[in-house]
Amino acid sequence: MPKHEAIDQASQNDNEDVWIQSACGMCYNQCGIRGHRVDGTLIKIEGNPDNPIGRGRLCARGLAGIQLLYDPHRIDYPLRRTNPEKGIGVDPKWERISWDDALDEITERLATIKENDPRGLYFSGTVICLAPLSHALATFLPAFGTPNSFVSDGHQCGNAEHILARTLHGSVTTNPDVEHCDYLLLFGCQAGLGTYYALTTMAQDVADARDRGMKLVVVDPFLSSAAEKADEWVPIKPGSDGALACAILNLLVNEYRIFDADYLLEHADGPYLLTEDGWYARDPGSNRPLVWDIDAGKPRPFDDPELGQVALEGAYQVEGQTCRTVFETLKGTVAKWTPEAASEVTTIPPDMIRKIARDFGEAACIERTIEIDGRELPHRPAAALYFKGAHGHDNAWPTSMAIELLNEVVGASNVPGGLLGTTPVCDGHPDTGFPRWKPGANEDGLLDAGMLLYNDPYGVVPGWPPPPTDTELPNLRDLIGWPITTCFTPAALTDKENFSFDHKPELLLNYGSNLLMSAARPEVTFEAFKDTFVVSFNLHSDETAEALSDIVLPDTSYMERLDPLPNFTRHHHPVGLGNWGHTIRQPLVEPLHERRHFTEVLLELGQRLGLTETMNLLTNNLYGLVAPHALDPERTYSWREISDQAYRSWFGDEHGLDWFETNGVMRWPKKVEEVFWKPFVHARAPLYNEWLKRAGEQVDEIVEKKGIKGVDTSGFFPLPDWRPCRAHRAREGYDMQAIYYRVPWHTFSMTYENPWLDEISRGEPYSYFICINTKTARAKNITDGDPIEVEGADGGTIRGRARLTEGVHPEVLAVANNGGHWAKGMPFARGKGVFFNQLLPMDLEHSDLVSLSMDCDARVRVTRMAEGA
Amino acid sequence: MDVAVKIQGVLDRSLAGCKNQFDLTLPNDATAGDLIGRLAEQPDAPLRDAIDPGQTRFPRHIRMFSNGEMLSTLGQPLVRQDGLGVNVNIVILNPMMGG
Ligand code: SF4
Repeated sequence: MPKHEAIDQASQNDNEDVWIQSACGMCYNQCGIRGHRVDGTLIKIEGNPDNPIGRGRLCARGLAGIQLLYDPHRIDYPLRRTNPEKGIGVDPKWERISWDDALDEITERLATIKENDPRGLYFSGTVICLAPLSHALATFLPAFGTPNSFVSDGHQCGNAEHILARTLHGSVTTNPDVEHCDYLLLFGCQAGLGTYYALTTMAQDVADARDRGMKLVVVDPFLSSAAEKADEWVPIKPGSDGALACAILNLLVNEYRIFDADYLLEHADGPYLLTEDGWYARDPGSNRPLVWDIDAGKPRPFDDPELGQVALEGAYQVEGQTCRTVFETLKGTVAKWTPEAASEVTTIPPDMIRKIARDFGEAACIERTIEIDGRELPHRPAAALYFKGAHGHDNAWPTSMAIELLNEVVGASNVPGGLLGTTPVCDGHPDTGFPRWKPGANEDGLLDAGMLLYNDPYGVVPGWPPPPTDTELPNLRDLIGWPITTCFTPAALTDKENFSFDHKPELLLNYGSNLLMSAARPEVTFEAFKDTFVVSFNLHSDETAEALSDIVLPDTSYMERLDPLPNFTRHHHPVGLGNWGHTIRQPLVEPLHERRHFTEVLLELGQRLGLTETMNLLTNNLYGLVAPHALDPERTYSWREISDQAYRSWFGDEHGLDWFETNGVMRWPKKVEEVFWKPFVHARAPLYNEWLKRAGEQVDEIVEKKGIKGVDTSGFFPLPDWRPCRAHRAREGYDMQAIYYRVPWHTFSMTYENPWLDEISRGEPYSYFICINTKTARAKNITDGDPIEVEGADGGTIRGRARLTEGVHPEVLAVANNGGHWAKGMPFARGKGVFFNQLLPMDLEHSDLVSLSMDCDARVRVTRMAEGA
Repeated sequence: MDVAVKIQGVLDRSLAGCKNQFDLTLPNDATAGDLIGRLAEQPDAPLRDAIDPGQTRFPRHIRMFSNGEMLSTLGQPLVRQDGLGVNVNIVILNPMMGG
């Protein structure tokens, strides 16, 4: 069918004029939308004011979604590669095949793999399609029997931030409570100002807070969308945010002595005693961590009912050892980070560092309280938040720790005005009590999260973090199992001399991700999977499909599919008071051409492979389905039936799929104890990561036994600190650092094919260029608009045109997102912008092994090229 | 009551050599923990070492479903209403599963 028939096909329903509620899917935030359909054609998308996710506002991408639906370059039919050669830039010579032929071949291959060794199935996905991704990870893949999954945008992801959101906030993500905040300090992050979780809601809340007088300070090497709106932009050398945060910590706890002693004593492990070799001192009988009882003059378990006044600071003799409290040890660890020392590393003047520390500490108003809904709560109106700009480096862990602890030492954690975990507590819908989860305390009294990536009705259970056990999985999950996402699989697969896996990828099922572009330098990923049968579920014939895929299946866009709980994990739900919102994603139009929803295809594949029984059980597990709405393992269900069961199970029989199709969103008010939960949950935030020290020793033991090289656990450090990242090392002739930054109108590399978003990029002066500081450029004889070449010290070269600006650190080259597509199937995106990831190697050396975060900056040199070169 | 137990594993290899179907008779008020205890007595059951008797909750990688509904704690009864026979499915996940 010719492309223009897409419109004709959609126009069969004359005299129709309807608005349909659904959820945006142009990024992971799932904002509430309304689609206007006239005579079968979607003519407009706008924000849904009834939906708490976005409250009626959309970003540019959300408004431009319609261009994705009717994009004439979408994949509309299953395709098979006819060119036996695979390669980057090679034409796959697609031929159209039928769905039956495609699924027959895939089923046959999968059945053989399952029979021989199910680990031969590899899966890669994208967090943009969170609901189908979660469904695949939690049902089809375990039922099939493979642990080999990875998220290809893992290096764009939160990595270290997600681990700390868990240990300190009982969640996966965080956002500040700007409604009660007076001072917001952002490190490489654009919360509410450019990109980040709950963007469209946060944008409104941050604007209101700024109106009210909230001060905004943004630390970033580039004058980002957030920095340009800040009261103060603090340009910093990339990868040195941890040094700045350590210096602020040092000033707060040692020089200014601004800290919340009550919080640290009661809600953190501040008073726990540490032995000389860095373990919690423990009671020999109960094995409970000890604190120092000042009244009794002796150590006692932290939960001893007889406890008198407890020491937060100091060193004490316990069984012949000098034991310091965790807080005392923290003070000692950060003491070396004077403003002058941090200034050397960050290039920020010492006085500026002092000012930020003083302002932040004073804004926190230790001891202030606030009454909300009749409850008196601590009020700490200062919050520090960070994201990829700060932790996208191989020093991700200690950097993230240092920034997080700014909130912890002043008690601005999960109380009004501070940093909040995203929905770690939910008491459920008032009528049903579902869904429900809450953090609790483990045996050491430390916080353990309730619900995380998947529904876990067990609540708090023993077993986190998973102990390192082996090195048999290329995603490193058996060695380093605590990060939520990682894209490390291709690197491990290609590091053959080092890792000797006893199985190999026979079939890669790639859902929605363009892993060649999103997971660092494409050659690594290509090498890893070039001999694998690759099945891609895609919107476009993108770089990964063209280089690697044997079969490409046409995916539905978010406007053509049903996801009953697109944000059921609520990682992207707004924090703060207001309403809970459970949204439906439903087709705004029926799938065009032969596009099919990935989840429905997995149900069919499961049936063909005899996995339905286990998949049904795991679906019950995933959504927490309870009688009478738990799926019967013996039955086969359609996706609509499963969706209906999920709704009824959570919200009662009167709120099934029909109700959601009509009403769009289920709302109910959040409670104070759900939002500002810290005073109500007796679980301590660990300032000291004893678990990590233990994990480091276990990892060492395993890799030594296995003879694996390059696994450096020196970063498995239990307290915040700073160490240089790879891109800081001097390399002769390479005098600059290249970074990427995010623009609010693009999602990774995914949205470059969208003409409306391209129009924005063309209309603004930076994002299709390589930004260089004006003075630096002059010294290098580069003028605005010159063609330049950026060459990485660790390989990779990118080219683009220079944009001279004062808005970038003098030692830095800044590139927006990941443009520069080259796939033939994305003609609109091709050649627009610059493909930054070409500069990024993917290996152990360039990764933070605690969080599996990759170093997302590179040491480079820049030269002017001849025009037309 | 009669209890038909089926054990499925994410890694078929982890069940190699193990029996994965059992027909047992348990008291009408038997709990998930009682069932696990009984299974631990079976010489060829794959769950012998999976659950520490001192725990009250399942490890993260063990899922138990009674007539399709997931049980949260080892103290939960297998059958809630009329004491009729029950189908129990136990799924062993790979504890390292993740994105
Ligand atoms: S923030 Fe994301 S989900 Fe919300 S409108 Fe923008 S693209 Fe859509």
